[in-house]
Amino acid sequence: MAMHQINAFMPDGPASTHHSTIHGKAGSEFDLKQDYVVGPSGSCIAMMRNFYPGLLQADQRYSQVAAEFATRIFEFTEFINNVVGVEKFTGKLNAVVSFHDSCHGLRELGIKQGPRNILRRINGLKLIELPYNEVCCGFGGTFAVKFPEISVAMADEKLKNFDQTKADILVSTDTSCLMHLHGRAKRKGFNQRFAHIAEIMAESIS
Amino acid sequence: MEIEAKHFKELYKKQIVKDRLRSNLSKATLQAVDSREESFKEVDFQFLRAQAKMIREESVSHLNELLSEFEDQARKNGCNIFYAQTPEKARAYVLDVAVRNNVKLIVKSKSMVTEEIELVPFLSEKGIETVETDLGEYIVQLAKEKPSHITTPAIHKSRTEIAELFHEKIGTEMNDDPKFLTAEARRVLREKFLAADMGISGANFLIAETGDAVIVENEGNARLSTSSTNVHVVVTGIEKVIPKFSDLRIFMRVLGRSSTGQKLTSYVSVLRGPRTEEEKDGPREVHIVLLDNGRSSLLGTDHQEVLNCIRCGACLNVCPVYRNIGGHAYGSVYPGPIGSLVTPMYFGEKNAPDLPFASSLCGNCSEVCPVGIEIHHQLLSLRHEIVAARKSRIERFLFKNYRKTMLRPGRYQMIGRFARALSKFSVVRRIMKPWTDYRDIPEFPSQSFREIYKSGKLN
Amino acid sequence: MEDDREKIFGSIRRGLRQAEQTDAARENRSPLKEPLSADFQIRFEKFNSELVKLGGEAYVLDDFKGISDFLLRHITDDAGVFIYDEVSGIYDSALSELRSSRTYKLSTDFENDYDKRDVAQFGSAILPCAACIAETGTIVLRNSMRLPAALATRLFVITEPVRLMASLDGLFTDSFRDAGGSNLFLVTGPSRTADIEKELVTGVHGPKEVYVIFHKE
Ligand code: SF4
Repeated sequence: MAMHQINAFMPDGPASTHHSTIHGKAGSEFDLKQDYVVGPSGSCIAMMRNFYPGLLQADQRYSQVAAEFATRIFEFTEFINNVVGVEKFTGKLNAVVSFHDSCHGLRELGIKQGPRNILRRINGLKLIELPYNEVCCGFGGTFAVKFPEISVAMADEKLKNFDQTKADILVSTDTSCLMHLHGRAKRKGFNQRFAHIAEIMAESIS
Repeated sequence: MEIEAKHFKELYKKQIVKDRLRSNLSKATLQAVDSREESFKEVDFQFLRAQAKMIREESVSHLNELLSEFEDQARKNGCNIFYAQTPEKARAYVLDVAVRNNVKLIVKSKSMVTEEIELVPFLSEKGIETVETDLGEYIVQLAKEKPSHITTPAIHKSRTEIAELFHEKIGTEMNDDPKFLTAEARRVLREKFLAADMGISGANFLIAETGDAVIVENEGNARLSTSSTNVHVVVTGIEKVIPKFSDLRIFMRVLGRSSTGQKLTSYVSVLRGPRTEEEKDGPREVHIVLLDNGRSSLLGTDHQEVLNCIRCGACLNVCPVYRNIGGHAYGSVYPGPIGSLVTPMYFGEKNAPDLPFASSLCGNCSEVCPVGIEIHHQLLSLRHEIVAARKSRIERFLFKNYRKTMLRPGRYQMIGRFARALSKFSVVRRIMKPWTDYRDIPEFPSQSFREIYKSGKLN
Repeated sequence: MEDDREKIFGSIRRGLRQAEQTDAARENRSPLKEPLSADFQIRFEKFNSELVKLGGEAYVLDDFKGISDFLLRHITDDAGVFIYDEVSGIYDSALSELRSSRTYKLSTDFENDYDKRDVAQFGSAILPCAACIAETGTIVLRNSMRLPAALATRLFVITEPVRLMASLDGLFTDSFRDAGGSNLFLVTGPSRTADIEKELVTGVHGPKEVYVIFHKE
C-alpha cells in the first residue's frame, strides 16, 4: 500500500453476516470516510456489497448509506486490478503455484481473471490450473462444523486435485478456504504450502 | 406423512463412508457436468436462461388463470382433469380409474410426482401390478430401493450390483455388460407393455393455450406407457403449466442440455388428449391429475421462485455435497440442492430440519440452473426462518452474543486475543471438536493483523 | 370423486395477491449462435452430422432405384416390415422389390383397435414425417398410428428436402400448434439410456437404428 501512495486505515470491527447485527454495524464500516474499503476475503465483500443493500432496503436510516457504501468496497484483487491498476505491480518469485477460486469471489463477485492477472506479473512464478477449479473446497462457514465429514470429503477432493498439479503452493483470495484446506492438508500429511495472494505478492517484492 | 429426511444426520454418515459409491458418483456426475458445458456452446445460454426464467415466472405468477385455461383446453381435447390437494387424494383417484377399467397391469414411466405421493407401492398393495419401465427406475424397483437422482435414478448402483440383481430377480445369466443388461430389461419390459391395460406418466410441461401435456425422455418407455394402452393417466404438479406452445422452443433447448448434455432428448411427446377419429391407436381415455401438496402455499412468499424448477437435475450433478453423500442420504424423493429446498417445503420443516443446512452455499447450483433459481440464496433464507422458529436456547444465546460481539469492536478484539490463549484449554478444544477431529487447528498468530498494523511495521 | 379444485384455487388466489403480475416479454430471436443457411445442402450436412453423433444416418437419394437398393441392403432379416400407406403411395416403385421379397404390412391393413402384438413383431418400420430439424437431427412424426415408430427395431423415414427445417424455432410455431391430431412425436436418434454407470446403450425400448432418406428429384 505504501508503495503506491495509498493511505491505508484499519477500521475497528469485523464484517457481519447476520441480519440483526447489520443495523448496528452502520456505526463502524458505514461511517468510514475513506475512499475505498478493501478486504482479503470474497465472502465478506460479497456480503457487504450484494446483501447489505437488500437487507437494509426497508431501513430509512441506512438504505441509502448501504447502497453508497457498496460502491466503495473492494475485494483485495479487485482493488489491485480495477483501482490501483495491475500494471503498476511486478514481482519476482521462483515458485510453482496452483490457484483456488473461492466460491463467493467467483460467483458473487465474478472474480476469475483478476488474481491470475496479478500472478502473471510475478517473474519466475508458474501457475498450473487445478482440475475442476470452480468446485467448492467444502468450507462453507458453519457447514464446516455442522457436517464436518462432508466438509472434509470435499476438501479431500480438492487436495487430491491439488496434489495432481505437483505445485508447491496453493494460492487463493479467501482466507477461510485456506484455513480449512490447510488444516485438512496438515492432518492428512500433505506438506505443500497454502498462501493468500497478498502474501505471495508481498514476498515477490521484498 | 413422515419421511426419512428427518434422520439426515444418521443417513449421510452411513453413505459418506462408502468409498466405492463416492467414486462412482463422482465419475458419473462430473461426466454430466462436462457434457452439459459442451452442449451449451452452440447456443446463447444466458439468453435462453433469461427467457426460461421469465416465462416460468410469468407461469407461476399467473397460475390461477393459466391453470383454468389449461383445464378448459384439455377438457375440450377430451381429457379428464382432477385436482388433488394431498397425496392421499391423488392416489385414491388413480386407484379409482384403474378399478373402473378393471385394470390388472400398469406400465409406468418416470414421474417425480408419483414418487412424491408413493403411488406405486400403494397400487401394488391394492393388488394392481405396477411396473416401472424406465431402466433406472426398473432397477431401483427390482432392488426394492428408492431412486437416488431425479433424472438418473440408479446412479448409485454399479454394473456388478445390477448384474447380480437381474440374475437373482429375473433369472438372467451373470454378465455385467450394460448392453447385455439393457437388452434383458427390454425383453422383460416389452412383454409388460404388450400385456398392460393402463399407462401412467408424469409431464414435464402442461401448455395452457392448447391443453397439451409434454413428456420428454430418452428410452421410448414413456411413449409406450402413454400410447400402448386404452387408459393413460398423467400425474403431475400444478406448477408445471406454461403459457404457450411456442415457449417450448426455449424449454426444449435447455432441458436436455441441462440434464444430460443432449441438444434435445431422444423423444418428445406432445400429447393432446385421447386418440381422434382418424387415429388407430393411442389411449381412449386420458386423465390428468394435478397435485398441490404444499405448492400453492409457496405463492406470494419469498420462496415462490422454487416453483420455477423444471426438474432437470443439473443442480444435483454440480453439487459437491450431493457427489459425496449420494441421493439416498437426503431421505427424500427430491435430493440435492433443489431437494433441500422442496423437501421441507412439501413435507414440512419438521420432516427435514437439517437439509437446508447441508450446503456450503457455494452457489454452483444457482449458476447452472436453467430457470435462474437462486438456489443457494433460497437455502440461506430458509435457514433463517428455521432458526427463528426453533428458538433453541443455545442458538439464541450464541446469536445474541455473536451480535453483541460484532457490534462492539472492543469485545471482538478482546475475544480474539483470548482465543489464542483459550485454545490451550480442554473445554475450548471440546467445543472445537467438529473442526479438530478432521483438521488441524490453524495456529492463532501471536500477533493479530490489527496488532501488527498498529505497530506500524507494515509501512 | 369430487376433486379439490376450489380449495386449490382459493389457496393460489390468496398467495398471488401480493405477487407482481408481469407478463414475460418474449424475445423472438433465435438462441443459436450461428443461424443456419437456407441452402438444403448445408442444412442436410448439419442434420446428418447431428444424427450420426447419436448413432443414426441420413442420405440424399435422387431416384427410386437408389431408395429401393438402400432399403433392400438394410432390411435383411425376415422379421417383417411395417409400411405407412402415405409412403407406399408416393414411393410405390421404390418399394415394389421390397414388397415382393419381404413380408410386410401396410398401415391400411390395420383396423381401429388392432392387437398391439401385431405391430410389436416388425423388425422395420417405414414412415413419412411432418418435418425434420437440422439443428438437432430430429424427425417430427404426426401419424395416425403411434406404436410402429416406438416398437420397431429399425426406423426408416422417407421424405422430401422441403421438410427439412433449420431449427426448433420453425417447429414450435402456430402452424404446428394448429395442425390437428392428438399428438406430435419428436424422434432424435435411436432410443437410448445411460442408466447403468453412465454408459450409453442404444435400443432400450424403441428403435436401435434410425435412417432418414431425403428423396431429391
Ligand atoms: S432447481 Fe434448477 S437446476 Fe435444479 S433441477 Fe430445478 S431447474 Fe434444474
